[in-house]
Amino acid sequence: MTFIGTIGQNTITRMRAATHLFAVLGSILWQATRPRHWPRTTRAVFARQILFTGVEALRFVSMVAFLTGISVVVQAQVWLSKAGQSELLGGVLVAVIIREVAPLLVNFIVIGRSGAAIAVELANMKVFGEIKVMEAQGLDALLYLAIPRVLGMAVSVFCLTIWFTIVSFVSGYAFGIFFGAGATDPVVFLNTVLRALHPADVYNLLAKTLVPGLFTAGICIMEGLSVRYSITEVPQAATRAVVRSIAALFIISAIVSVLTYI
Amino acid sequence: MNRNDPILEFTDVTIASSPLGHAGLSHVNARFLPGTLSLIQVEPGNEQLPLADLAEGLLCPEEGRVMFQGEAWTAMPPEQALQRRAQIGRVFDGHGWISNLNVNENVTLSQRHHTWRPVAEILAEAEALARAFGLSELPKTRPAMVSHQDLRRAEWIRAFLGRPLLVLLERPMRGVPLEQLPRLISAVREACAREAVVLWLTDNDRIERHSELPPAARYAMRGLTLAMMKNG
Repeated sequence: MTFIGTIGQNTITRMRAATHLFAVLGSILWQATRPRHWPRTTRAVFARQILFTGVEALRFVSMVAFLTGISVVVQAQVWLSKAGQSELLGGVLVAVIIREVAPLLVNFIVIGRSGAAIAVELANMKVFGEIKVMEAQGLDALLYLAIPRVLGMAVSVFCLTIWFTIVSFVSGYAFGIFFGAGATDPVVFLNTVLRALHPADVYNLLAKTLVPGLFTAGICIMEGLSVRYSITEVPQAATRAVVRSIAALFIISAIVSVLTYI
Repeated sequence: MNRNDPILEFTDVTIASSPLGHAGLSHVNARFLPGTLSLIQVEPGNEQLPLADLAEGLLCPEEGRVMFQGEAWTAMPPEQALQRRAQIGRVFDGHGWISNLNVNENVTLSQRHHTWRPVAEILAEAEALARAFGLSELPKTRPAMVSHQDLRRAEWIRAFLGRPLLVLLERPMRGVPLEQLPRLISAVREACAREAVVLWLTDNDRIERHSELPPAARYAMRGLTLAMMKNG
């Protein structure tokens, strides 16, 4: 095959994979709207997924948010003060943390913690025949495994991002006072941030949390279930899942930013 | 369905062997009526039979058809097939556990998924079966933390939980001392008494000749075919 042909073939392969992913996610979301696909067993898996992806990640997300707050919020306060543009603080923080940093970092954390775990878990289930055990008992493996994980991850990413934003602002504000930069009145600080928020920022936040969460879970589930016979395929599937999830995250973030603000 | 209608029926079923999986079958014909026990003797070296997977509609035959409750698995819509499988209990020949669930969660999974029965009621039935099978209680840890013998008997609990219509036992005594056999036979008798069908795949002559075994239709695998032997 020629070089051009190879590029074309790779493009077609990737487009097919993307189409398949959209089809699987669409099917999962459609099936999730039916109450009969939420028996107590599926609800239990959903709760467990939120516990693992959301609640158990709180400590690490809080630490990252705390450090991000120090880095970003304090820097913004210091340099805007020096430039005599302190009134821009709210806008800068909204633009940097709420629009970009918080969703990106939280998604990275979730991909690393939960995405890889989902891919490995499902890959092991496939290799050891546990999918068949499930189906032999009348459980639709895709619905029982996929619906709660996809929705659980999306909800967790959204909630963790809200938490991340709050913690980073609080830590940045506190350290700003400590270093003598920025507003000492918390109400003034809060007002500068709230005045800079627009409805587009809310849509942006929702899109940059829920959509990557859905795609990360979908990609990791598909990669996990793609293994066939050997345990050696499991780490390969996990690596592909993480890399493709990160790629999807950047593509989605860029598209959402363009659509929201341009 | 009346007593003369088979709960499970194989009609001219043929399936090729899978290189990494099961053995093949050729033109298998068998009818399994309500309230009957069928013993199927497997050949040494050819134990990975697709009979149970075919009986549950998890595999499609290349020729012929498998009917459950009068309907072919291939003709059923997927959701109906899933519902029908809720009426089937099974002891798996290979790995039969979901590793990220505890044994008690594994055992009660089908009942919790398909029925509205209170969890306490399901667990009470499972605990009663555990005692009947010689376990002090239903294990509540991950399958990897349970001894092979106890895990095998936990599979018996799962197979008989919820009074299934069809019970598939794939070499259920593997790894279990023979003195536990009467307990399993007792559960088989109770299942047959309530008009269920029990298929018992075995490679152990001592089980087939056990004095407490109820009357059973006897089959034997001869290469790719299923031959009916004398009735028990």
